[in-house]
Amino acid sequence: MRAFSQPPDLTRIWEGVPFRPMLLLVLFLFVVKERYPFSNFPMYSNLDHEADIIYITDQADQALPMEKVFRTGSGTAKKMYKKELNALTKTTGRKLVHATAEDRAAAGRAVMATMLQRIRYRHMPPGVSQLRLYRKTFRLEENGLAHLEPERLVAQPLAGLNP
Amino acid sequence: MNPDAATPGRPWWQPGPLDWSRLEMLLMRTAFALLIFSTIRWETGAWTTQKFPNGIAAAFDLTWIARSPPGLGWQAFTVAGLVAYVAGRMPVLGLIPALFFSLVIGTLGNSQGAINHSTQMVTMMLLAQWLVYLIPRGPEAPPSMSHWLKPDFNVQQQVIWWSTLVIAASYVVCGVVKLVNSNGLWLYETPYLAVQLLKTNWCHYHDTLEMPPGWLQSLIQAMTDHPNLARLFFGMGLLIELGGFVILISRRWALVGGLAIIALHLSISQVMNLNFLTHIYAVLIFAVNVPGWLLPRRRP
Repeated sequence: MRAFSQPPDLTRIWEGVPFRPMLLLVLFLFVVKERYPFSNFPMYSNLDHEADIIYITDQADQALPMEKVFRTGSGTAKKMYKKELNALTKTTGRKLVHATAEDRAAAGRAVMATMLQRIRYRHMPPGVSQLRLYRKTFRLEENGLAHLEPERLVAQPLAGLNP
Repeated sequence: MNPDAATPGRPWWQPGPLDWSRLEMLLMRTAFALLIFSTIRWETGAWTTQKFPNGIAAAFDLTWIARSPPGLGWQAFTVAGLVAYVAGRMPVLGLIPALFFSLVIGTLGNSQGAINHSTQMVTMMLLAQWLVYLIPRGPEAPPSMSHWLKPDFNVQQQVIWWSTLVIAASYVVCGVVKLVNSNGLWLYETPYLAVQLLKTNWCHYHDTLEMPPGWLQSLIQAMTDHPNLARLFFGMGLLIELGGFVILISRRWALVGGLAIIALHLSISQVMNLNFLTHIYAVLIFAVNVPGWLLPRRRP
């Protein structure tokens, strides 16, 4: 009866919580999510049976070293592509999975525009006249891992851009 | 000193600052200052827009720092501030340039549409240290001017303590998010990581034109053929993240937990080509704390 008539001493309960300051910080980071410098570090928290990459080649589909030439890695380019695609589909109230080929191409063009701004021409291999941006998907299927046919999103002539 | 002991006068599950010596803390500050300076990406020229603003970029245009990247003068100014911090003199002022450039450049870099997670933890540690120096804690109120000019031993211990706390919280929240975002199914779904392994290694190929190692295909095949093996392997990683709090308990636990976190990063680096060097160095400095094990310590 006494236990019901008196409110629990919240201060004492709080003082008994293990690792208090750390738990508060964990809660804070969990709620705030991605607001630099704060992060809940959600990398690989959503696992899916497929994953895609974005990469750039020349006119003969020969891969270009993205970090050296575009100061941007393939992983970063992929995140940028997903952000662009997400923004495009959101405007029409659609989910990312319902993006059309035209949406994907538009997102690819936006990524390519950023890449063009970041080109280090001294690292560009000689003879490159066109840049192609591809998306390639890997999928875990019943009989193993499948490499799907790459989808060309953009083909951008390089002539005239070189300063 | 007993390395198994928790903070004197406290139970192990409510730890506080460990008994770091002045010399140990000086070495930790020196190593952290070097880490922070090398983490700041001074070459900001590529980030002329902030199309997807993150953090303070939602309120402020930070692209000015891409148009006029901080030159040698600003970098020397930052170094001078860090030297004052290492020496334990006016750290509130000394840390401002490093904190400013870490925050502004890091925020702008993460406002390009791609969030990269390499510098958040050390910038949070820097922010936590600055706040500890700025806001006096403890019984002696109002604080004297010496608190800001030359923080005493207890403040320096709090600074190291909060740095370790940020490391622990970062790993624990990372594990918690995996469980929450997957509705508790993360461990069950880990065989899907085979696709991610393939992805990250092909990303590395397109970054550098170096072919993925031959053994990768065998590993991926083993993961798809034996999903429970993948669950066991990645389950250990999840356990290390969720158990990150152990580095707060005692020196010995900090060593064990710290080495486990470093082993986790090194294995991720091997199989996924994802390198978290700043995390490894931060854990090495504050948790593993090699000098702390080598230096002679006075008994309490």
